[in-house]
Amino acid sequence: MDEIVAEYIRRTVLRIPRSEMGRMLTTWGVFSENQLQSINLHQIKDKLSQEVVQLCEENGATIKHAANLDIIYNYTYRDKKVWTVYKMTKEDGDENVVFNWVDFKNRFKASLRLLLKNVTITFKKFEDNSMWIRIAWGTQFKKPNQYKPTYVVYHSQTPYVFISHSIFKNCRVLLFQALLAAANYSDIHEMDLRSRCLDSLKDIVFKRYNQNVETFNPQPLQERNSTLENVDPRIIQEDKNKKETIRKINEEDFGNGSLPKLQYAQYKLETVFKSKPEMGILNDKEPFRCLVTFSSPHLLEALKSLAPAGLATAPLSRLLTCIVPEAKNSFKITEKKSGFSHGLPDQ
Amino acid sequence: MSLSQQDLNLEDAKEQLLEECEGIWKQVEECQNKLTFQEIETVPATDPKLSLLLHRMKALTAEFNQWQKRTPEIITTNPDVLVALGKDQLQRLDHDLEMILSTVHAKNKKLNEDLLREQQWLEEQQQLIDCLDQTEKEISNQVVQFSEKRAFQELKSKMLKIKAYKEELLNALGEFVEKHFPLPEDDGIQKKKTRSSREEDVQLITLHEILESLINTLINKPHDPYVTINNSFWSPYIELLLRYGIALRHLEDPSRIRLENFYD
Amino acid sequence: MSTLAAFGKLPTLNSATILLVGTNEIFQQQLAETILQEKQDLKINIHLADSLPLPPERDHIRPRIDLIVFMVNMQSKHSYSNIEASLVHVDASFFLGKVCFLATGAGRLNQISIEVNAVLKLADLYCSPVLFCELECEKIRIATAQRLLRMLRICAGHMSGVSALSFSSLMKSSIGDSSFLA
Repeated sequence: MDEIVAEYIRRTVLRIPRSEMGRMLTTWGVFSENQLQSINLHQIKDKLSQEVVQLCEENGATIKHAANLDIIYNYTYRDKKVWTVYKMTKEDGDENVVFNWVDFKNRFKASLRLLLKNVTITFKKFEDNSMWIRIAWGTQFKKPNQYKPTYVVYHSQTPYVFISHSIFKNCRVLLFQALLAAANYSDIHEMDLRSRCLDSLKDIVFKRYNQNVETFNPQPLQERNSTLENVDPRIIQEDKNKKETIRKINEEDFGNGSLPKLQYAQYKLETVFKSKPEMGILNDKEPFRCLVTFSSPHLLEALKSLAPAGLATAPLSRLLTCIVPEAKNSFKITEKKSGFSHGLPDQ
Repeated sequence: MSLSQQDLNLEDAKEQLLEECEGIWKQVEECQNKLTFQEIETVPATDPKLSLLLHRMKALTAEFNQWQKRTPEIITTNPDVLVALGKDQLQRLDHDLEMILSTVHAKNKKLNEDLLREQQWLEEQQQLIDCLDQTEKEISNQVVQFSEKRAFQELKSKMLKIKAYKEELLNALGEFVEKHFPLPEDDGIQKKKTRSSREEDVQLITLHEILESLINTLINKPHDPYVTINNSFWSPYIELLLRYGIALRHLEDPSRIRLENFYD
Repeated sequence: MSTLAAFGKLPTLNSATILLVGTNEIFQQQLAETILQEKQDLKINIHLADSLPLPPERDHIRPRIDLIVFMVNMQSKHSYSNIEASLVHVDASFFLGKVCFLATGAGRLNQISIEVNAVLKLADLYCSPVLFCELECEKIRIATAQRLLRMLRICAGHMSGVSALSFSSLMKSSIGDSSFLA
């Protein structure tokens, strides 16, 4: 076994928390039942990692196995990375080819290997039907750097690809080419949607979140009101109807279920500063550049609770409520002749 | 008879009170009617302060005039009502006073408890002080008895005793050795006296001397306690010492011996 | 434009009504509950609203309002402008001692988005007192509730010899903020 592989396995094992160690090593599937039982999980991590490497040596593990363990770790802790969503498009008239994972893998590998020899490509499919692709990049003269791989998550027969960002600029093009070739698409572009929570991104682009107003059930709302009323008969809410409307508007904008998790929303303003002519601070033709970022551990929940907390008037600006339906959290606001338009991506 | 009479009186009084109340309520309603006809005055949004202050001044003047004109209101003169009111007030006062009494009682009790606790505490402290005083006395007595000179003398006498004992032991040992392990020749002692004049003729030394030299070497040079055997050592005695484990031979040099480590 | 009238209705026997106006529902609810926890020999009604005017469809069931408390959240500009807009819908007679401002959250200076002076000026403009209060702290909340209740008793006419107007004049002179009167 290669020294690089051994060291890489050792470091990956060190990253795994003790509580998850047993489960991940079992999922990994490199060790036999007996070997798994022989590993003492309660010793110092450093010793443990050496023991694992020892066993790997006996089993003749390769870089493929090492990469597999890394994927298992990153799949479990996928929220530690920032994920960007890309959308692939087909040209009209392109026929739908029957999708096949084997073909996909082969085409992907072939396309990458054609231009870059030193590259480690590993595929792993998970129960949630997602295909994880791990690519460790090298150059013509250098071996692949296993410590800065790119992770790509793809669901078959969808145009969306989720990529975590430790990617070198020049490799990005190669990766896109390989993806397009493998999945039979003709173009790919970034969707301006980024988050730490991969599952929420999937919920947004696959439209799995609960936003339907029709399915809205009036039962819980009445209950909520009655709890407020039941507090004391001497407390009278004067603006019950108003609050009701705020709740309804909020529900129309955000739905009544749990919301996808996003960490920020960014608005790049490139609009002309409108001031009274006598102030004359800025000239009217130059756009006034400014970047507004809203950030929160759970941005959409925060926006949702603005109006009920009395911090903003309902309905909220379209710019804030359109994050989920538009499936993007980076906007560019530019001056349009036909009134005010919000964030169309400039392509 | 008297009871029903009282009841009747009470009824009258109630009636009277109700009438008075209704009269007052009518006044209130009249005032209210006048008020409702008055137009509602809104506050100007731009600078409300001046108009509000004017309004305030008017209202205050009116109130002032009202207070000036006002005569203190006298409650009804109906004796029954007055009696009832007085009773009520007295009852309330009684209730309040009882409350105060019970509070004072409770407080007293608490203070008493506190006092008891404090006294107990004081007693304990006193005991502690007594105890400490006693201990202090004892200690000071001991201090008086313990004088440096005396201790020194004691030690000195002990040392002298030990020295005497040691001397005694050494003498006894010497006598024993001399008596039971004499030199092979009878005239050994005489020869020893003339040792310096007859250098070439080797003079044997007594077992006593051998032992002494062994002990001295061991005490003076613990790092190298070996004594070299020369012709003056009578070999049967050497053999004796070695055989009974009193002396040991050097591991490499058979001509040197040392005393066994008895104190280890 | 409907204006809240100070003397539009007859007073109700043995009861007093306070109106809390403010955007923070939770604070309102908390304060209302604290007020009701105080032991009282008269019936207290508390009406909550986020802004004025009050919805006219409830006019007929609403008792006479004796005291209006405008709750300004110092950490929200929205709250301030909302109160500013609401003040227009109040009958001038209310400002004769039946209005009070309650500034909340002024203690955390680094989070303030409205200047304390702005609130003091606004209150001065409407000749009404300002109370400062951190509603998160239970003790302060209780103390504030007690102060408001005392004011309410006076405003509802349950203290003989003191009128809302004379009381507010007293408060004014005791604060002695002549800086804004100039």
